[in-house]
Amino acid sequence: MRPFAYVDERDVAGAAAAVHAAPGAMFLAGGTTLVDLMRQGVLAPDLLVDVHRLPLGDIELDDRRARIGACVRNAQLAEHPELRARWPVVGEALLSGMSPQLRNMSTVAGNILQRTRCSYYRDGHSPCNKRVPGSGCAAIGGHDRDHAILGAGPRCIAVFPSDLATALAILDAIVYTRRGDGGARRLPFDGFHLAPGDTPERETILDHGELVTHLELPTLAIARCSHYFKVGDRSSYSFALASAAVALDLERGIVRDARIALGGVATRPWRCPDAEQALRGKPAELSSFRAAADVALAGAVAGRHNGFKIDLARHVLVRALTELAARPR
Amino acid sequence: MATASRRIGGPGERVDAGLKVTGQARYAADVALPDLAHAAYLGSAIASGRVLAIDTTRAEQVGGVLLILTHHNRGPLGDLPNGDGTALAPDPRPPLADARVHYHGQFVAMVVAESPEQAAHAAALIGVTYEPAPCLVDIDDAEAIRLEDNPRRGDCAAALRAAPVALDVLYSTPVQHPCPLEPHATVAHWVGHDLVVHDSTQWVLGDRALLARAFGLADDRVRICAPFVGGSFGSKVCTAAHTLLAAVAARRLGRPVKSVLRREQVLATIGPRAATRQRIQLGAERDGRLVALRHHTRSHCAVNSGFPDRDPFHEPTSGVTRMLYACPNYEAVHDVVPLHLMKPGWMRAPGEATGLWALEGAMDELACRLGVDPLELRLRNHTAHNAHTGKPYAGEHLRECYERGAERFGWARRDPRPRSMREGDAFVGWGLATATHPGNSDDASVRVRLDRDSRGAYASVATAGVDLGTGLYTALAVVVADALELPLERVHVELGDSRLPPAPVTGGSNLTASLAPAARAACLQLRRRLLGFRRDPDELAAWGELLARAGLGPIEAVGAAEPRGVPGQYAYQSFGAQFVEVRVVPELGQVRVTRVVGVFDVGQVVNATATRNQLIGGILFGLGQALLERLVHDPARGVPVGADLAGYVIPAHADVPDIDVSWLDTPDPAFNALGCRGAGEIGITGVAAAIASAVHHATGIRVRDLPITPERLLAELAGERED
Ligand SMILES: Cc1cc2nc3c(=O)[nH]c(=O)nc-3n(C[C@H](O)[C@H](O)[C@H](O)COP(=O)(O)OP(=O)(O)OC[C@H]3O[C@@H](n4cnc5c(N)ncnc54)[C@H](O)[C@@H]3O)c2cc1C
Ligand code: SF4
Repeated sequence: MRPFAYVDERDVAGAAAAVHAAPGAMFLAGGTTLVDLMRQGVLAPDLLVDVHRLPLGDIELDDRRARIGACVRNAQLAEHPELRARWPVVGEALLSGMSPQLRNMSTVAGNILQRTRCSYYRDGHSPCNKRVPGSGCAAIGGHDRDHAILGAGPRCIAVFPSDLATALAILDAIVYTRRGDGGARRLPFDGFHLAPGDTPERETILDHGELVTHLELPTLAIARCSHYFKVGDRSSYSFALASAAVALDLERGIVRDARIALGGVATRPWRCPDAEQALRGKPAELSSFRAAADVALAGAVAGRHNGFKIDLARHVLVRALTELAARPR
Repeated sequence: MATASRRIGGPGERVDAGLKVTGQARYAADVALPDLAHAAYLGSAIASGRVLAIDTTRAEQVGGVLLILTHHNRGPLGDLPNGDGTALAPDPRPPLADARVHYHGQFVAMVVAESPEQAAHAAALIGVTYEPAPCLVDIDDAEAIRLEDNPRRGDCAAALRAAPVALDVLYSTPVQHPCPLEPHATVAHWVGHDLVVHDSTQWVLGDRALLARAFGLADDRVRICAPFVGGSFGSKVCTAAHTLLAAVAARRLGRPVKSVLRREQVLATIGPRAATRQRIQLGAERDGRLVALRHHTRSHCAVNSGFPDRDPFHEPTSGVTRMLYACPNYEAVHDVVPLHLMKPGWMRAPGEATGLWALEGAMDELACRLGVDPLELRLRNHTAHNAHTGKPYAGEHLRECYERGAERFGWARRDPRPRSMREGDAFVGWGLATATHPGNSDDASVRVRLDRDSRGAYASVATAGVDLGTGLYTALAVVVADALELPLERVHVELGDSRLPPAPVTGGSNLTASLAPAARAACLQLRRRLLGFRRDPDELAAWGELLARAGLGPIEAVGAAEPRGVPGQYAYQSFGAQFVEVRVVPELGQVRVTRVVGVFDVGQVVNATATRNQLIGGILFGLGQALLERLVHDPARGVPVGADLAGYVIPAHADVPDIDVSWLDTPDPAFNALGCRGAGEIGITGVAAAIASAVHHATGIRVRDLPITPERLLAELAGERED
């Protein structure tokens, strides 16, 4: 691990300014992504600005929205009773992954900014465009079993692994930030994460020194009827091989509106607007769900070992919709 | 005399539990010495080729760096013993021997610094220029070498041709890794010209012999301490490369050196379970009785295994296929496939875990083919002697294991048709397999000392044997408390120090079977000496009183393991039956084990808690083998993929089903005085085959390649839809 300086910031503007001023600086929250990657030599900041004690640790709720501080622990978010009633998909997504210890330690902002689990990225020395731009991609043509079938590009096929982000993708979430120069931004979650394209090293539209301060979930009637379903290699403590965040607005057995996003299979949180459209006006039954799943996976591209994810994601999505439609309401 | 306490086989508490849960048990990495320096390593970035140049300039400038070792300056090490029974080096060449690279992650440099962080940082700054050569890491892509000395009996080829029923199937297992929770760790320091090493090892005397040879010292100038080891599963038998380097560095610096491997270094530099490809050919009568069995195994070895001068390590798959079932004609053939990987080694039930996967899978297929119940097929092929040597088992109760297991599981209610049981959207299936492991024991000795204090007599027990977390502390305390009729808390056990009476490697499930009888023998000697001081043969006097009366201080005796019976007359083998229920959601490719019943005959059980723990742990190991574990290496570069505990997936608590283990109370008195065989490995054997059998019963899909992953099941289902 490279030596680094550390400051414990208590002031939001100060934290943003501190990172902004130093090109090699990074924010440190729970550290469950960052410290691992520093040990691996993948990330090598020379200054860590610790933000986990910033006054961004509260969840505020009113009729219009939930305002979630960036430093709220993932455990706190997962267990919040009112949130669970109004946006069940959020808690379900969080509880489907990590371990209790990790949820206690890690933060909401850290979660949506976590890095890929691509082994070639994490080993610190394989060719990897995300880690060392222009060095190539060892996963393409290599062991790509866990890699993306949606949104992949010729330079990077890494999955963005966050369960929480998959849930947020269907909730019209907003990310609020404070920039190093003192400005602030309000960023729709849709579009917050970038496709790998030519710059897989850039994962979000945040600028250097731009601090996430809050997440906002606007009140949505459809969100009350939402669900997260995930399949991993083992029964718990496992990243998704495929997952689906879904919400349904049903009236007398007909889908009035639907929200669908896929996780574990795409290079960024993957909302499926065409599949949602395919469901609208259809009876809430297996054949409609299957048809929507086919639409959702229509653009999927298989590599050498990850072709099974196309089928798996399709079945996972059908399962998520079926379970949700069967829920008493 | 105190009331007799029949503790053998009772539940008992774990005598070391308090130390462990309060953090007082000191593992190698916990050892803190004044002036301790810390090691870090740079692993090779190529899997095959040579190091052309190493630039350590930047690393040397890092504050706190004390020493950088490469093959240029590592200095001489003696010839390391291997395969002569005294000690084992994992790799025929000692670490940092020369410029050649044979696997990814092989150490190319070691840095020692004042802090672990400084050492790691400096190691990352070392620049290495390589001359890469093509690497081979896939067992299916490389050429095989046929080994000699293949066991056979009868005329297998002719019998296969003539058999009324024939089956010819290929089973495979991937590279797996023991991955114990405690990473491999060493603290080495020199006291004058003597070497003291705190090590995570299964074998303090093997470690001692190897280090003594490496440094040209007499054995008694080297001391190895391993009072607590946090799991091993075979991976701490050999003296690890980093242990040798830590001792080299400590001598060079005149300071103690601590070396703790990172998880990816454990996965890259500690020998894995070899990948296997196993072709099983069965010939049978129409009633299912076997007439011929041919077992052709390919397993991977390392390109630098030293073959043919040294054993290349071949995963001993045929050990179990040759002996398990009555079958007049048998032949095994073994090929090894050299790959650019770390030399493989033993992993819990080496040979049995892999060989039974193939044999029991094939037996299940034969049962389906013939329409015979798989349990009935096993009974028809049952033998009361070792099918290969012909020696009768001294104690053999496999039929009883099947019977009891079937009853506890409810096997009789099984509808043999695949897909005959459903629960919601899941298919439910039941499968079974035989479990077996040889009864092993070795020369071993235990010292028991009896002394008294104000509370009366107490015993101190000592041996070099190592407790890997398996329960040896408890087993020995129980045996001594029982033999001397002392309360358990009046027995103190000291383990894992090469200065204590010699004990064999903790491996092959041999340790309790070797040490428990030795401890008992020591106790009996003490009893004989003290009982002479009774006033008359009926007097009930406490040991403390007898000691006082004898005017003796502490008295001690060293007991040795004394196998009874005529050597060579009997075969000793443990058996069991594994019954498994799975739920399979086919379209999710998901297999969940919901129920396991295992019934075992392991001879006399010394401590029920530890035995349960070992058997359940073994079954979970089998579950990991069946459904999750495989260490993949990148085909082009040979780098391990996912070399951490998020990538190398082992079962989590949520994967643990309802496991019902039990054992027959069947001492094997011909084996040793206590009649106990080990229970450390048999639990894993047969589990993977039983799970695959249950998956077949649930879905009709036959999986012959481990692990049984979603992609395999989904591929089969996709195939079905196209048919
Ligand atoms: C073993 C293991 C298993 C896991 N399993 C899962 C799983 O199943 N599903 C899943 O979704 N995730 C999983 N994770 C990932 C986990 O969710 C993330 O590690 C965690 O949420 C990161 O949060 P943190 O607070 O620790 O972030 P940190 O590690 O502190 O930071 C992560 C990144 O975010 C940046 N950052 C942090 N806070 C801010 C801020 N306020 N503004 C701007 N930038 C910021 C940091 O600079 C860094 O780049 C797992 C992680 C581990 C180690
Ligand atoms: S998939 Fe992306 S992260 Fe993985 S090696 Fe390729 S470029 Fe790097």
